[in-house]
Amino acid sequence: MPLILCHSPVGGVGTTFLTARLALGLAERGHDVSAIDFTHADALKLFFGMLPAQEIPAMTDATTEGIVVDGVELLSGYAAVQSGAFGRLIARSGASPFDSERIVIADVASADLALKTSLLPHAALHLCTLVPQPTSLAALAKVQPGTPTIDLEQTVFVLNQVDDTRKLSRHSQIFLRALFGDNLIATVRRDEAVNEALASFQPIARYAKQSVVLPDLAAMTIAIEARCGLVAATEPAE
Amino acid sequence: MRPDAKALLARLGQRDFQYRQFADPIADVEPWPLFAALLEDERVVGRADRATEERAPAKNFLSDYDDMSARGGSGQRQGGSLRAFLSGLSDDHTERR
Repeated sequence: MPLILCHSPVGGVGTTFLTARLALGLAERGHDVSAIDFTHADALKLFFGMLPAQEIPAMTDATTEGIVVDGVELLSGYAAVQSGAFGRLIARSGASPFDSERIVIADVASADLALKTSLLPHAALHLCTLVPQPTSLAALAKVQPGTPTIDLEQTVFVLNQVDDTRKLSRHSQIFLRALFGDNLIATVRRDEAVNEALASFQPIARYAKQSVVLPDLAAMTIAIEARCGLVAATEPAE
Repeated sequence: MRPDAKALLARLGQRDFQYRQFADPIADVEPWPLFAALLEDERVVGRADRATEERAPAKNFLSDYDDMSARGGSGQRQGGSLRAFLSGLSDDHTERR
């Protein structure tokens, strides 16, 4: 089963949000999914309705009972990376440290280029989140040093927080579509309800069932599923 | 159609509503200097001498952009070349219809 690496060269663009929503979407479609939070911010769990003070098990700790929320197994990878254990695990020649039976989705902090680089060879797909803002667009030059961004075959882009009422947002979407074609795999519109749902510790589908992000996220999940060569085991209820 | 719009129309009994096909949005795109800078950045688009190689769907537009860059002066590169890029988008959009 594939590793989907979620990393953006710029922070604060919604990588963690999309990691969580992708994991939930794939689980809803019948896949076995693990979501690993490799970040110090430890925010992935919030998108699963957990409180900031609640801890999720370390990925290298076999003694702690796992946490599964809406079909997604939640793990923390931060401590393992900091201790060097994960680096040693992944450095074993010819071996992938990931359970071959599950889809693993990794949330990697933007500043953690070393981890991103070490995970990339093991990844079926690299998901790079962008927002229609100059700092994010300028960081297109930083996605993978040494390779022109439009030549990245393993990388797909999601344009997050699109706002069609704003000129630069509309133009950015058109520009990126022309630049990347189908590698701009999805666009997700901006909806403040996402933040409000998070602050309420509620899933967005319950807090705001008419939110515009929901069909966008569903389309993103289906597109990524197809890109990874996966087939849904079950279709989600309407 | 957005689900909230669909729900509202359903409540109003307007079930035959269809979105109108609006004009080509390319005409609305301004030549933002940032876009021009990205199109000139080898880290994003690669080297100009590779413009004819097989690439993602943007290859035609990038080839047009590289040709315009080679002919224009440095002071004209950004705006004029980006307009050529956007013009290429518009032409391609027209051809696809």
